[in-house]
Order: sequence, then C-alpha cells, then structure tokens
Amino acid sequence: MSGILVIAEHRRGVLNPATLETIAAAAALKQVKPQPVAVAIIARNPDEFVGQVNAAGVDEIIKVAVPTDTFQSDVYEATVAAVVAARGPAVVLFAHTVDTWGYAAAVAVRGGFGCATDVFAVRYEGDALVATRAGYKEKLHMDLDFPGRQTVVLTLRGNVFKPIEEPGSAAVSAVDAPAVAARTAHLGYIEPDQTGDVDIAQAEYMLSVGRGVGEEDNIEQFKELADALGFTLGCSRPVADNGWLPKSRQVGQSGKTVVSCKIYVAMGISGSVQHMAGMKHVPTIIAINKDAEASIFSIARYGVVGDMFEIAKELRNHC
Amino acid sequence: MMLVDALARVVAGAVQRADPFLAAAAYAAADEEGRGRLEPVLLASYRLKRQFAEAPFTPPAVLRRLAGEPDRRIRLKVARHPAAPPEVLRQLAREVACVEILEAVARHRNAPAEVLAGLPWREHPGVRDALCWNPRAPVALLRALIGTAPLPAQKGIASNPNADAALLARLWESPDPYLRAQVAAHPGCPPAIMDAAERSPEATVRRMLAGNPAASLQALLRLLGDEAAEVRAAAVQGASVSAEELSDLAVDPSSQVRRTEARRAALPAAVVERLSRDPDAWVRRWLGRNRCATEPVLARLATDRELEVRRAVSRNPGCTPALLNRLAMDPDAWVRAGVALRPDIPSEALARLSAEEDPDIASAIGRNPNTAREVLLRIAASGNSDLRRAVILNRAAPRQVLLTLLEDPYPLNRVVLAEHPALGEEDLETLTADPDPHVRFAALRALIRRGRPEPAAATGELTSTDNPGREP
Amino acid sequence: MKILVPVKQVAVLDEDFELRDDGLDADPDFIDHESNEWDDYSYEAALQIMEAHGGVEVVPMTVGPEDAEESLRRCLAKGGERAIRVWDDALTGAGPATVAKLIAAVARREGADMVFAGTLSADHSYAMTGICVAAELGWPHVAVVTALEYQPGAATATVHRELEAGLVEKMTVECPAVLTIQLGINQPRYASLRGVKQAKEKPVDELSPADLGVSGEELAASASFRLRRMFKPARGQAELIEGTAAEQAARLASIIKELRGAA
Repeated sequence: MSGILVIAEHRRGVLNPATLETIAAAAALKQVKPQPVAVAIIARNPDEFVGQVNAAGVDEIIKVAVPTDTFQSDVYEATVAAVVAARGPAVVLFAHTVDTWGYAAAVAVRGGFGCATDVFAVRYEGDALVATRAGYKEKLHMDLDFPGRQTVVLTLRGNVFKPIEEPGSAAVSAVDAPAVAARTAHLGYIEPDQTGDVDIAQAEYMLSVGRGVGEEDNIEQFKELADALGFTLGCSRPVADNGWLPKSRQVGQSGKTVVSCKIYVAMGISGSVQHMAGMKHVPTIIAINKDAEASIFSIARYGVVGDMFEIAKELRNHC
Repeated sequence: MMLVDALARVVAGAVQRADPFLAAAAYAAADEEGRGRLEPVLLASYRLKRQFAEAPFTPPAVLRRLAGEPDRRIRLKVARHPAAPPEVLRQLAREVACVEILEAVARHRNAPAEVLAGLPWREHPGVRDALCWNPRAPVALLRALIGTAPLPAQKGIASNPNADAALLARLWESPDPYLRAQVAAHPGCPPAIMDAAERSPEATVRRMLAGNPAASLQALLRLLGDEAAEVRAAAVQGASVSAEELSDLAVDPSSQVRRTEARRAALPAAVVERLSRDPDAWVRRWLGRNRCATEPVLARLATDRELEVRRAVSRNPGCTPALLNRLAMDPDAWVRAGVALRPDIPSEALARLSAEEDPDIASAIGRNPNTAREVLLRIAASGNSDLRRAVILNRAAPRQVLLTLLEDPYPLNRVVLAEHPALGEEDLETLTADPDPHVRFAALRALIRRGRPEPAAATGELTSTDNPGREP
Repeated sequence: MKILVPVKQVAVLDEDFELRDDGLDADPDFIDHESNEWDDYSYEAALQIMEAHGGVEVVPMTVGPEDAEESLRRCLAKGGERAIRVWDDALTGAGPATVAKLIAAVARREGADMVFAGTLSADHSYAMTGICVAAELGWPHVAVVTALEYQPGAATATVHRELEAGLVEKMTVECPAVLTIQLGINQPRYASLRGVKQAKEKPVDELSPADLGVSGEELAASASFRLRRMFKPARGQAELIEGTAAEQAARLASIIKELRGAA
C-alpha cells in the first residue's frame, strides 16, 4: 500500500474549498515521503470539478460517476472503498466536515483501516505516520499512530493547511462506482433564515451580555454595538430573568444553544456552568471581563481583561 | 431554639453522610470543634480541595483554611480567588518562593495597599507589571514602579486611578499614542497636558480628552466642533456642558453624536423636542428612556412605528399611568412586557397582562410584587422553568406559593429558591436533603444566615461553579 | 420497539493541570467528570418518542467504569426503566472504534430497533463513535441530526441534517438506523426529584466484553489508532489581549474582521 488518496467534497455543484486544503496536506506529505497523490471526485458529473482540483502536486484525478448529486452515506462509503481497493493508498484524506462526520469512520471500520478525525498536523516518524489532534477542549494535544494498519483514514481540520494556488498537470482516470442501493434519500434543502437576527440558535456571530451590564438602560449600548457590528445580541440568564432582554435571547441551559455560532463575544459574563452549556462549543469565543479569573476565560480563544463598557465604547468606533 | 437544633442536626448529617457541600456551608458557622469534624469531609481529596479553591461560592472561612494547605497549587488557586479576603492575601504575600502566587496577590483587588507595597517587585517583573494595573496600588508605589515599568505596564499606571499629575506628565512624554490617549482620559491629568491633548493630531487622544470628566467646559465646547464625529460624541456627554449650551448647538450631521446627545442628562426642552423627531430610530430609542423626556414627548414616542422606541417608553420612570395603560395594549408583546415589569404598574394594566401567556410578559408578571396570589400560583405551575423562576425571584411571593416549587425539577431554580426570605426554616431544612449538592449548600447557607444578622458567608454566585455533581 | 441510547461520562480538565508520568494522559487529580452535553439531547429525543407512542422502550447504556454509572442514573431519573453498563479494566483508554464495537454488541443483544448517539463528546470530540456503531451493525446512519420525525415501526425516519453556513438538508433514512443527534434538536428536560429517587432503584446491568461475546483480541484489533503521547500545546489556547481599552478594542476589531473574512 502506498500513495495518498484525497476525497474531494462538493455540494450543489460547488467544490468545498476545504478540498484544496486537503490536497495541500497531501502534497506536503509527498514532499517528505515521495509517493503518488490522487484525488477522487465522487459526483454525478465528476468532470465539473476536474479543473478545480488539478493543483500542483496532484498526480492523478480519479473520476467516479455515481447516480446521485447529493451526499448519500451508503453510496460514498462503498465508492471510497472501491477506489481504495483499486489504488491501494496508504493514506486517505478527507476534510473534517459534516459529510465526513457521517461516513469517514464507517469507511475505516468496514475496511479495517486506521482512523483519526479532526487532525491538524501529519508527519512521518521513520516509516510511521503520526497524526496530531487536540483533546480536552484543545488543552492537550495528542500524537496518534496506526501500527499494523495498511491504510489510514484521516479527516483534516479546516483553515490549517494552506491551499495550493499553482495549477498542476494530473492525469485523469476513472474508476467504476459499485452498484449500491442507498438507504437514505434526499428530500430537499432548507435555506438559512436571513430575515431576522432574533433566532440565536441560527446566528453565526453573537455578542452576549451578562450580569456585568449592571442595569437595564445599559443594555441599549450593547444592542447598538451588536447592530453596528452585524452581530446578534444574546444574554446570560440573569439579564433575561430581569426582563431586560427577551427570553428568546437567553443562551444556555433553559435558554438556547447557539448551534451555528462561529464567533461569540461574551461581555461581562462570568461563565456559569449554565451559560457555558449553551456556547462552549463555539470555535472562537472572545471573552471580555474585568475579573481576570472569571471562568469564561477558560474556554475563550481571546481574552480581554477590562471594563466591558469602555471596551464597548471603543469598539463602537471601529464599526 | 429551633434554628440551633436544625443547624446541629444538619452539621451532624453532613459529617455522617460525608457531604462536602453541606460541610462547606457549615464550616463558616462552625466553632473550632465543629470545624475539626468537618475538615475530613470537606478536604477528603485533592479534587475536592481544588474544586472549593476555585468555586465562586466558597465561603471565605473555607478559603482561609485552604490557604494553609501544604500543596502549593491549592494555595495558588486561593490567591486567584476573587473572594479571597485581605488577611488571606496578606498571608499569601509571604510566599516568596512562588512567583505565581505573588503575581496573583499583586493583581488582586482585595489586597490591601501595604501588602501590595511590600511585594518583592524588583525581583519579579511579572509582579511589578501586575501592580501597575492594580487600582489599590498607592501612588508612592506607582512612583517607584514607573522607573523600570515597560510600555505595557506604563499603560497600567496611566489607567490607574491613583496616578498623580507628575506621573501622568511623565507618561505623556511617551511616543505611544494609546498611552498618551490614556493619559488624556485620566481625571488627574494636569491642565497643560489637557491643552496639548486638545490640539493633538490624533482623534483618539482628543476623544479620550473629551470623555475625561475633568475636562474644562471651554475645552468641551471647542471639542463639540471637532471635525471627528467620535470626538463630538464624547464631548456632548460632558456633564459640565449645560442645557443652554446644548440648545445653541446646531443639529449634528452624525447620528452617533445625536444618539449620544439623546442619552445625556439635563437636556433642555427644545433639544428633547428636536431629538424626538429625529429620523434615526436609535436617537428616539435613547430619548424614550431619558428622564428628561416630557410627558407629551413620551406620549408621541409611545406611538412610534419602531417597537423598541415604544418599549423604551414603557421603561421610562416618567411614564404616566395613563400611558402605561395604553402601552399595555400595544400590539407587540415585548412592549407589553415592559409595562408588566413595572412595580408601579396600574391595576388596569396588571389585570390585563396577568392573563397573557407570552413568556416575557408572564415572567415579568411573575416577578411583579403586585401580582395576585392565584396568578403567581398559575405561573409557578408552568412547564417553563424560566417562568417558575420568575416567581421564585419575586421577593413578595408568599410562602404558600413557594412551597409548590420546593420540588422544581430544574436544580438552579431550587438553588435560587433557597435564597427566598419567605421560606420557613423547616422548608430550608427540607432543601438541605436535596439531591443536588448546590441546592443543599444554598439551603444550609441560608439557614445559617437566618441565625446571624450579619452575614458572614460569601455572596458569590452559587450557579457559576465548576460542576462536581450537577445531578446525582 | 427499543431505542438504545449510548451515553458517555466526559472528562473536564482543570485549568492548571499536569500530565501523568507516562505522558499518555492528564493526571486524574485534575480531571472532573460530567455527562456529555450531546447525550442530553439524544436521550430526550428517545424519551419524546417513547412518550408519544405506546410500546417503546428506551435503554441508556455506557461503556465506562463504576463512576460512569452516574450518567446512567441521570438518564433513568428522566425516564426509562433499566440501563446497561459495559466495562472491563482492560478497556481503560479505549478509543471510539472499540467503544463502538461494544455498543453494537449491546444493540444486537438487546435487539434494538434504533440507536441514538450524541454527535460527539465534549472531551475529545472524535465524532466517530455513533458512525462506527452503524458500520459494525451494517445499519444506515445519519450524522448531525437537528430534527427528527419517527413513528415506531415505520420503515423510514425523516430527519434534518445541519450542513455548512446554516443550510439544512431534509432526508429520509431506512430503519433500523443509527442517528447522531446534534445540540438544539429539542429542549432536554430536568429530572423531577421523584425521578431522581426512583432512578436509584432501577437496575443497571453490568456486562463485560466477554458477556457480549467480544474477545480481548477483537477489542485490541478494533482500535483505530494508538495514542503515542499527550502534550501541552506550545502556545495555550487563549490569547490575552493587552493594553489600554482603546488598544484592546482596536485589536479586537481587527480579529473580528479577520475571522469574518476567513469564515
């Protein structure tokens, strides 16, 4: 077994740009250990994407035509297995995405492959492939290896590997997709609600205020700041309990979980267990609190020890 | 006396059941002998010591005990605990072998000035830099620190309320614009520097000066004509700018300036009138909350097309009963909820809103001290834990209503309930047997407070702890 | 009709932790345990189906040591009559694929009709276990489920799957199936005090891998990776933004701008 197989990802005719990051990771491994890099495009019409994945470092682009435009785990699992059987790669790389959460591990179990998810560094130590990922909410990193595995499946964290812009000159080939009856069926897409900013469960950018806001009239300047930033305003329980903001804006236990949030700015929130339950999963948490020991800092990516009112006033000048 | 008996029973129970949470609450009230019996329960493992050294609700007595732990890591957590009492910090300041502890003391807002001054900052740059930011650091110490303080720590001195004119004058010499801006914002900034700041080419420096409560009226009036809107907005808030001077101002083209104007106190009637017709909704929204807004202006804003403007009026203390009754019929629930929150709610509005099911209105009614008992009972029986908690948070809720909430399924509600003054001692005793450790702690803490007019226990937020046992 | 809900007691690491001497994990002194947040939602989803229809049994299970029983009692306090805990000391440090093998064995033994797992666990976030269970059973599966319509006994379930940028896909999946449930699919309940008391009396079956017919060799072979070491990242997760308020705000503004540009 040798070589690296990258599985391209796309939806509704658009290549997921994370695919190019995955290709970059493969090309980097090829630099330290020369081996062929192949990219498999599993799609109803794979030709659509051939040009886009033909980046420097790719040796082969494998087209696999399947009878579905949408992601169907049964089809994808069987198809990746067929491509692995046909090419015998030592490493299969996926982007770590909602789709691959739904099948990469299954590919590994059914093929008897090694597997690690959400990997952000890959290297060789001698002949051994070593993958690094984080544990304990990023507080520790772990090195994993895969003794005895002929093939290893890795899903790679986004925004880590820099996409290659330089075009390549890969050979284009095809592998037949196995005939599989999908046991899932696509019914349709539901577009995100763009109309209001009120459903905090759907908001991508949030600014939340907590007990530190002090009194009701003070809420207004944070609402104005959130508006100016294009953020959705949320709050912790004490603020909603006081009736200063609607219950629909309360984040945490008995309030809402900010499922889709990408950036969460917590102002004057100490970080109770109840609040953190609703937002600790957010990838970028920015905490602003005058108490340097507030628990919210333990989950923050960026911390500001300071007065929330001064910071808000100053931040307003940057909107 | 019943309370003493209850306490003794609960303490014995804490020891017998090896319940560290009851032990923590009891520890504060226990005598020497009692503490000796509680300590093996309270400090049974490293994990427990760590959890109590971090938990926001830990009573000072327990922190004091933990500050004597042989394990340095525990003492460090105590030094970092926001409720660490001054004498504990004084003791920890002697830990010259542990720089992290010294730094934590140097940062701590409870550390007495003489403890801060005695820290070995010359040996430890981290201690020195933390001291520069500590508002309790005395001016003599700041004068000593400035000699070797690097730029980031100099910013701490410039932000420090104890910095005097001489220190600020020295910091003004810095080429760093943020440091200079901070000097211009300091109430102790000498007049000569304020003059220089007013002429600064940097808008940030002029803005900071305009926000300085010590800035002179003349300077503020000049800054009201500044080319940068952010500077004018800061100047318009200046308290020394009088009503007459504001009336003379032309309508500022920047909505940022007008919004700030609508927030300030002592607005003359002509300005109120002008702002109430501003095209920017945020200007009207701020004015709706402003105590300067006159009755006719509020009445007009109460029919504004923006719901948040109407909501602002519903929260204005100057809102008349007639206007409140009208707002209680507003088409938007959030506006009606604003009326429902008011302790001075007219009975007509209260009757109308008591029947509503919108969660924001029902919650406000649940908290309102005027709400009828049967309405409270209905809200207390709600399936929504937020609404039940509204009743728990209502200080005027009678015991009969609260009793229906002793078994509220949401543990946090029971924690909050334990703080309610209308509960009887026997009710609190029931809660000390609750399956949730935080409820047991809160209940025993409340029982102990009943026995002491001077509360000795911490008032820390019980609900923001790490979570050694959310539910058993 | 039976729904099996695998839950996990997750580890929470204290801020000032130290590593174990062998470098393979954090020192247990610095680890607290709590129930995995995602499992509150998967268990609630199962309970709601049980309550809406007759003849549905919900069985929580976990793979974990005696301490982990607490997370099962927590489930039973909300509903369900019995739970299953699988353990053997040899499982200490077992990875997601190994745990999945045991969950699948329980699903077979129980004759489960559906398996609802959390999308991921809050400690190591592999997001693998549920999907590995499906692969072991050969069942259809959907990950990151944010809405669910299911009539017990029906041939398919209709689900929503949360995709990138708020986009949602509506799809059907044939049953029996494994679903991994996302936060926010429902509003998890709190146990009543009576429920908490009753849960203490409910049976928790303790099973070993051998009881499930899974041999030590099979367990060893199922590991999808080997842990070489754990280490503290060179730079901590958090970046402290320093300076005056004006300076901190300027830096924050540029961070926000940059992150939004990248997103």
